[in-house]
Order: sequence, then structure tokens, then C-alpha cells
Amino acid sequence: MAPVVTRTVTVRRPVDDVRALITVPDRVFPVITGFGRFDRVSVSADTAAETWDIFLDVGTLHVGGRARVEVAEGQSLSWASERGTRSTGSLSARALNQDSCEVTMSVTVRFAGILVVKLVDVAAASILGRHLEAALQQLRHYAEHDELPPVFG
Amino acid sequence: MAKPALPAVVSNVTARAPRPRLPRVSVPRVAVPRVGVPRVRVPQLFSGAPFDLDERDPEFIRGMLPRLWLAASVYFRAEVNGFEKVPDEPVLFVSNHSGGSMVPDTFIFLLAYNTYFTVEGRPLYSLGHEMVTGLPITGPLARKMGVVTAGHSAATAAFERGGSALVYPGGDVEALRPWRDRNKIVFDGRQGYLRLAHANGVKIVPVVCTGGQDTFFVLNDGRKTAKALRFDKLLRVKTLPLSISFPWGLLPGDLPHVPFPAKIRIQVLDPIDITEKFGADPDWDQAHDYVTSYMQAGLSTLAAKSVLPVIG
Repeated sequence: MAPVVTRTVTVRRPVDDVRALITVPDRVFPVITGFGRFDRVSVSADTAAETWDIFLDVGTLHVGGRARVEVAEGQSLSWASERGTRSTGSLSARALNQDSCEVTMSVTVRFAGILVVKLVDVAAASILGRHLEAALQQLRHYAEHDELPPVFG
Repeated sequence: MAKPALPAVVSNVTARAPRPRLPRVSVPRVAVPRVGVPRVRVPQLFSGAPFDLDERDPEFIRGMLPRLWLAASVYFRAEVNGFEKVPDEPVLFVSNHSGGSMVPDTFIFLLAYNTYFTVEGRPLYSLGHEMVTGLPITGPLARKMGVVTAGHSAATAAFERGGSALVYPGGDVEALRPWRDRNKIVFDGRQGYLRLAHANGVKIVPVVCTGGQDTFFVLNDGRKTAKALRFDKLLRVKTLPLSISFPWGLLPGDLPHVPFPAKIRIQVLDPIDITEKFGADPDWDQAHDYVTSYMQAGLSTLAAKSVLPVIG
């Protein structure tokens, strides 16, 4: 069974400000330093969907590929893989009060195989969890202080 | 850009407007019988060694480096990166603290610093708890490595002679934080490091470390226990957690132990100039919020490099 990993962080900014950041791929992808590669491939004319090549650097692996990225009414961003690592994910924000909100990032990854993949799933959930935590902390710092988070190799 | 002039007095006390004098009111004394246990002044059981920067012994450090390298490279598989970001001037390194009483990240950082900047280069003084500098046998060894009893005077003296200082604002609270909070910055609201850097006109260089809290396992933070036993007054220690370590097993508190061979990673981040960013009269809460936010983002990013706890 594919691991579903979810992490949340409280951001001390109004929810509308944060949604304006997380629902725009051109704004949110550069902030998340774990995304080693990301390039827009195409924009769908009839829907609010874009196709991106996007990869998360995880040590020796580059997890990702070509994904369809959709924005739901300016409230959340979601993606589903078309090529590469089988994954789906979403990024959303809900208001806690006037000045702060809770941002949630959720990712599901499916690996090939039966037996070994059970071990991989356990490790992957733990690794993905740390990457999601890092991504959310980077977004939080950017939203709260209007400054890119620290970048290092 | 010229820095604004700072007051010559080295003090972390901000000048305040004088309090208005209230009219004197005479209150008749009434004899009140004492009830219960009389209040007893609890002496602090431990005091650290007074700081003496000359106790730092470069030749001793040089002799210790091979031993530290073996431990750091073979046992902890340590990685230390980012020293190229450190400006060529006295700075205040501000780091998160881990590893309980054994603090392996401190010694790995000292090793890396003294090899990158050389033993004869800009000296680094690490501000430590009284229990580190005051204990027999290990205290003198620590002082030879450049560890001095924590205090603003010690750090100021280090800056005045051209050295840098390393401080852990989170102290014992952070070093003994629960394992579930291992990738969190826990400074416990302490802001003295900001005043110290600002008063001395030095930049803050944030440092984040992972893996130290995998060298033993803390199950809870034990703050209420420490307060109930008055450890905060007796030993200046605010926490008494339950921990699992070798060879003690499950233990209340923390004793010197053999750290588990966890992979330790240390990353030096870009320096922060408090005066440039927040002005000559900073809002300390705002500055503290910024520094801890920056460090938390860095720590979480560094933690994402981990594959499995302890192993790396």
C-alpha cells in the first residue's frame, strides 16, 4: 500500500496571503529548496491545469517526473504524475484566525514491487515526512519574513 | 556601509526612562505568625570556573584533533559544511544544542572550526554550562579546548581579543528535548544572544545540527519534575527528562554516557547582522522571531537529508 504522508505547519499570515503564494506554481516551487528541478512544460487552455517536470532531490534519488498541476479555485494546489515516479499530492491552507493559517502538504508515492517495496514504503514515509516538513518550514519562513529560506547543498 | 556607533559601555541592559516616583505611604507594621515550613535559601550546588581566555591551549587542541577526527569521522560519520560563509571578523556562532550531557555536536564543531581556520587562526571560545567548566578532570580539559563558563563578560572578552564565540541559547532545555522534537529549534524564549551580538557589534552566524539527539533518546522534557525538585535553583538545570542511553538504560535525567553512533550533520548558515536588519534599537522579539525562523527552516532542510534515524 502506498504511503500517504501529511504534514502541517502554522503560518502567521492571513490565509488569503498564503493561498496567493501556494496556489501559484511559479511562486511556490522556487521557495521549496528540495525541488532540484522544475520546469513548466505546457499550460492547458481550457482548464486551470499546467504540466510541469518537477523532481524532489532525495539523496541518490530524484523523485518525480512529469506531473499535471491543478489549482482549485485559488484555494489549493494539487498534482498527479503522468510520467516518472507515481505520485499525487496537494498543498492547501485553512484559516485559524484573522492573522494565521494552517498549511497542509500531503503526498502519496507508489513504488514498483511487492516484497521489498514494503520495506521501502516504511523508509519512504519517514524520508518523505522530513522533506515535507522542510518544504513547509521553507514556505513558512518565506511567507512570514518575505525572504527565501537558507539554501545549501 | 558604515555601522552606526554603538555605546562604549558593554552591557546588555537597555537604557530605560526613569520610573515615576510614587508618594510614600506609611503602613503600620502588623505581626504575622509564620505558618508552614520556613523559607530556606537554597544554595546553588554548582558554580563554574571563572572564565580565563588564556586557558585555551592551542597546542593541546592540536594534540586533541586527531582523536576528535577519529571519533567524528569513523564513529559519527560527521559532515560539517558552510564555513566559507563565515566573514573574516569576530562573530557569534548561534547553534541548536543536542546530545544531552555529552554534546558530541560541540566537539565536532570545534574540530571542524580549528581545522578550517587553523589552531593558530581566529580562536573560538565556546560558552558552556557551569557543570562543563567546573567539574574536576573534565573541566580543565574543556577549558583547554576553549570552553568558558557562559556569560556576556566572557563573550565580550573573546570579541575584544579578536576571537569568535559559540553559544547555545537553548542550553540544557534544548539539549534534553524529547526525541520527537529532535528537528526543532528550542531556544526557550532566551534572547540574550541577540543583545550580546548587538552590544558588541558582531554578526550572528547561525549553525544548525542534526543527529545529536539520536545519540541518546529522551522520552519527555521533565520540566515539571525539575521544578518540583528545585533543580533550577540548585543546579541551574530546567529539565529532568526520562532518557535511554548506554550503559544506563532507562534513566531519569542524563548522566555521562556512551553516545550511540548516530550520523551528525552540521551546516553553517549565512550571517545575520542584527543592527543592519533591525536597526540600532531593535525590537528584540522581532529579531528573535526572525533568527529562530531562519534557523528552523535551515534545520528542517538539513534534517531532510537523513535517511534513517541514527544510521544516517
